[in-house]
Amino acid sequence: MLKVQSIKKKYLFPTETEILSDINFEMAEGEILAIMGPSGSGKSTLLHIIGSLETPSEGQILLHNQNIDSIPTSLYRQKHVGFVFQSFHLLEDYTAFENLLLPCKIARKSVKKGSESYERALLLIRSMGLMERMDYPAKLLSGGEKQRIAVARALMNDPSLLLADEPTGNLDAKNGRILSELLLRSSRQFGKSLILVTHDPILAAMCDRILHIHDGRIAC
Amino acid sequence: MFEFSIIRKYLVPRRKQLSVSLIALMSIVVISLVVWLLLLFLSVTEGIEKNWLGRLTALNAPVRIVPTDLYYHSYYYKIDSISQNSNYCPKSIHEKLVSLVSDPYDEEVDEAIPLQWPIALREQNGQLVDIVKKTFTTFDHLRTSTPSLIARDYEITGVMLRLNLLRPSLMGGEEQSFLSQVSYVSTFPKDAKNVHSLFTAPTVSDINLLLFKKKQRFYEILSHVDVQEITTNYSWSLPIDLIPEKGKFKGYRTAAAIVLSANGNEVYTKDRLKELKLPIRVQEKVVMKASIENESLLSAIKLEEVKLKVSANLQGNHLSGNLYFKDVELNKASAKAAFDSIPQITPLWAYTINNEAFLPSENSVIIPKNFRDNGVSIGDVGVFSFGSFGATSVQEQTLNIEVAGFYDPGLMVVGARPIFADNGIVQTISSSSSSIPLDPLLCNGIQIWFDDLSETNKIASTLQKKLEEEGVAPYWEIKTFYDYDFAKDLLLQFKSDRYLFTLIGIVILVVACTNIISLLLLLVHTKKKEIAILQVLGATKYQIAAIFGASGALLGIISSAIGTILGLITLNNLDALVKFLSFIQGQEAFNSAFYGSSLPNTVSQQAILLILIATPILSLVAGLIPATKACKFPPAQTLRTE
Repeated sequence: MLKVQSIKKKYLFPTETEILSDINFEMAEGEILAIMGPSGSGKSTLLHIIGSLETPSEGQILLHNQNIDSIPTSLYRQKHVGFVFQSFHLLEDYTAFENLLLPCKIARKSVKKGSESYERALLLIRSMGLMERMDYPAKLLSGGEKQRIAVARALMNDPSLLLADEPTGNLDAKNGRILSELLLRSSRQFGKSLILVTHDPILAAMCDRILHIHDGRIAC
Repeated sequence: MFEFSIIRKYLVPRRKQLSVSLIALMSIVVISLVVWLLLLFLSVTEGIEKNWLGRLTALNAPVRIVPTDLYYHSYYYKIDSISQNSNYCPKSIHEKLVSLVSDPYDEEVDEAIPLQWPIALREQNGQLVDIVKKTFTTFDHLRTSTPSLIARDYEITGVMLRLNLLRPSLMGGEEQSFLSQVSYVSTFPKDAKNVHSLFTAPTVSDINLLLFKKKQRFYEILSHVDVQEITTNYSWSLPIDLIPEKGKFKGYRTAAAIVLSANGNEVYTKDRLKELKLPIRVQEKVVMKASIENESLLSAIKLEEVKLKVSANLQGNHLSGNLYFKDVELNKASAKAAFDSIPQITPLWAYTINNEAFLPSENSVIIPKNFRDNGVSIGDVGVFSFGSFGATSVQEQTLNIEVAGFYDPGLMVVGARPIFADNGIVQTISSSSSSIPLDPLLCNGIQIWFDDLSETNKIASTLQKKLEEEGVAPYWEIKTFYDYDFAKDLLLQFKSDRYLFTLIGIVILVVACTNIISLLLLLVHTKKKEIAILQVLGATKYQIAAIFGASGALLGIISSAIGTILGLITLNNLDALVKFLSFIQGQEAFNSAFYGSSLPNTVSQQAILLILIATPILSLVAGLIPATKACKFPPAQTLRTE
């Protein structure tokens, strides 16, 4: 489903630094892949390149055999990938439910009561166990709740690939575990491929495959 | 549209984003103020211009047709001077129009036509082309497309005005003074559009003077006057019938009368006053509410027999009853000068019937209102003095005239403020001196009025075409009010004032809109992270730009709406505002000689259009600068650093 081919990433300023060099791997449909490695090894950069938040210096990424460069960036982010960040990145003044509906609004989908998007948002928020929190402003939610909303938001536009950048990094052990289970379960339940950047070996062990990155290269 | 939900969150004031809210509020206030000022100024300027144009075109007509040199040198014009049928006098346009013969020349009686004279313009059947009549026929054609069109000939001439100002003397009797002034006299444009609106109604002082000078015609005067208040003069004595039974008055006694005065040391009751049988005088003038008893007005033979129903307060006593019109004058009254149908009794002043103006008699004149400052009043009589060529010398001739009303010429040069008189008077004067017209183009012509001033140029060009079709175009020059020498400068001044202030307004508006740039740049800076999140969720650059561009435009729309509403409210209460400004300044805020009794204003459509289009566009442009910045943020980098 996903082919990462000869990806290189260099920063020219302040000094020329190679962050990623010759990254190659493939992922099957529905596969859950953990990327591990020390801080500064290029894990997040690789995830951002796969999510088109950054552009590679060399190489290409094929999603369903289509080079993602040929898809308009905003369309790719709207339809094909869903992001979960360590810092949640919800719109704080919006309610939990409004945050869920946001990707659909951006994609110009109807979010009226009874619409497909509305029903999907209800299904997702229910599956995250946050029905009673749906009208809470995001700023009033706990860290665990925020991250669950972030996971639900990533699934809203039904993308084929989920990208999670240290999703449990800002959570305590208990909430981190709950979130990890929820993320993996949701990904399996909705048949999504998942790339997970994590430092947590327990969480990595729950994934189908682990990719180790050291100094911008795949270690094994 | 998710953009609007974001805009709403950004622009609604919140404590959390106090600085953004304050700047947003300030931007709205500043732009609203500029919009308010722009609307107010342009509306007042347009009002003044319209008002002035109204006066200008009411007096001088929006289109004038004046004879060219060719007309004055044509056989048609010159032939009268050698024809016995025309008394060897050139004819004015009016005389040509009413004349039964187009060619008065009789070769058996009149001298031979000089050889150097131009050849007569003749029809195919040999008849002389009657230029004036033919021209007036073209107006009938024009009336099919412009039904409101009115055309009439006019004459302007110069005279010496001498008025005899007869006034009641404070010591009793009368005194008189004289006023002499060189003036222009013009044909009274009785059916001209809006000329009635320039008339100023007779004042209380006019009516009092009319009653003084034309006492015997009191019935004609009072029939059209609604009396509300009278005041007594020094020779008035209080009728005993007006005194209440239980009334008590302070006063003192002289050899010939009882004088009621608050400073008097004696007290008089009604019974006591009856016993004394002396005239009762009142030291101060007494102002009484009054109305005329119509029956007494019908039966009265002289003014003193007209009864007034009065009520007043004197030293705390209520006086009421009937009073004869003697030793009193009007203090508050209004004279009727506008009628719906022909009045049964002709007023002694100029009046209108359904917007058509009438003079009370053939020797009546209407004069500019500035004559009031010289003490002239309705009913004043005098003469027009002018020179007439006799066989050997210039002889002075006079025509009796009487002032029948005043009109407000507005801001006009002296030459454009003529005295209006009956056609007969003007013709008599101009024919006496027409042998040497100083400026024939200005002396005689045709004025054309119509309702819609915006059609002036169109009507003038249609007229030109028609005259060309009739073959009489070379004899006439068509002038619109834009060409009048006395109006040109002021029209240009109005135009340049409007352009200048619009330009200044737009510059201020641009400066005010730059506030929006600061506001939105601050907003972009504080919302950097949210912008990055929206980008991660798939928002396009255009969507991000639209949020900030539309925020700017929205601020502009809100501000212009507030400014426009405030402007309209202010325009509706402009008089109150002017009063307030005058009160603060301690003097008249706006010169009434220039602006009229109240500051004229017309809601300027042009200003509203400018505001409603320019402000949102300028704000949108101001919003686009921060918008461009917002959509250039790299989301990954922003989210890492935030």
